Amino acid sequence: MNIKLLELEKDKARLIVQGEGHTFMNTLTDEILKDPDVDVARYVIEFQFSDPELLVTTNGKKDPLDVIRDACTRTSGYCDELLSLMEKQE
Amino acid sequence: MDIIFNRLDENSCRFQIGPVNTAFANSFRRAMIGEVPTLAIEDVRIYDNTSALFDEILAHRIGLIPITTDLSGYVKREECSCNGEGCPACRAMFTMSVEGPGMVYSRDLIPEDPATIPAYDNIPIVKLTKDQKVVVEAHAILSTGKMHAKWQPTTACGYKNYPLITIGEACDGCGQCVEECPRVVLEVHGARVKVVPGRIEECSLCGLCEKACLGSGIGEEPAIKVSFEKKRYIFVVEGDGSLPVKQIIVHGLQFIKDQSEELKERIGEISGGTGDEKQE
Repeated sequence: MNIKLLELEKDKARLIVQGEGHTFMNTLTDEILKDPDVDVARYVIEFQFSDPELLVTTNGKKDPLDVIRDACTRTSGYCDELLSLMEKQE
Repeated sequence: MDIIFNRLDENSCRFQIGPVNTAFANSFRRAMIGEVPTLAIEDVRIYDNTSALFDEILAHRIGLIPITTDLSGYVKREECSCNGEGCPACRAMFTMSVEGPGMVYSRDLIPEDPATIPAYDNIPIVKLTKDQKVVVEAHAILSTGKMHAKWQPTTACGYKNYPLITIGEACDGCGQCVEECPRVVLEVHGARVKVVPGRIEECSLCGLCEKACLGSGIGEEPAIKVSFEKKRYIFVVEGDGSLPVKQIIVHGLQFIKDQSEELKERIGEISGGTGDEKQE
């Protein structure tokens, strides 16, 4: 996975996430949208097998990159919880 | 968050999971199908093939055979220390030498590593008549379902919403909905209808019970309402024999976690930098 930053302002971030597809981007976008300070969060894959472009806009109170990182942390947390439940499964 | 297993065998399982978002459930499903690595035959050296099938058709069929995979014992070819040349760490070798008449089965693929064998030994590959021969050497490598369907570790992998059936006060126990239900989820109990204990998960949300209720002349609104719990899903996962389903589930979750962690790291590298980002 490589990141190419296209635009970064106080309330907007546009970046290309290379090597990913819907499998990860959809969950990421959904998680970013849970944040109440986020205005717009969407990803677009222009053509098949293109690299997705992620756009995140906030209301100015939070840095958009921090918002993405928090969303990743939360997603990771859900996976950790489920993985530990799976470990307890006999 | 919880996972409750209805059924957990070596090759198939059924579980419910909640509360999760739709997006997470779908990502989980996609990860289990397309991102969990498994072994499958990729390169086939054909020394002799006088069978009825062309070389490439034979190679295609051999590639689709599921192979028991020990994920700790193999690495992907791109990541191997041999630089892609092929060594026992990234590649499993099979040889096959069969002469007709008879059917060639997957058990005729002789493995080099006795633990890495075709998952089922009775998969027919090609039928040979007298004097027809097949002599091949096959290499199996580790890859993901995204690359080719032969590397998908699952045969069935899907989910549905957890059904919710509410029976209102207007129910008069006429039993029309019970007769209509194709999954035998309902039963008449006294003067009302109720869900058979333990069968709520069989409901397919088809709504035939609602239609039957309206048809029985109960009024404007049916007494029985079928909907679903928004954040609870029932998953059915079946493996093809290459990996135990528990491993498929665990690796699917691990994939989503690894991608999240990697993205966090990459963003950390960018924003930790001294603001030299490209501005358009």
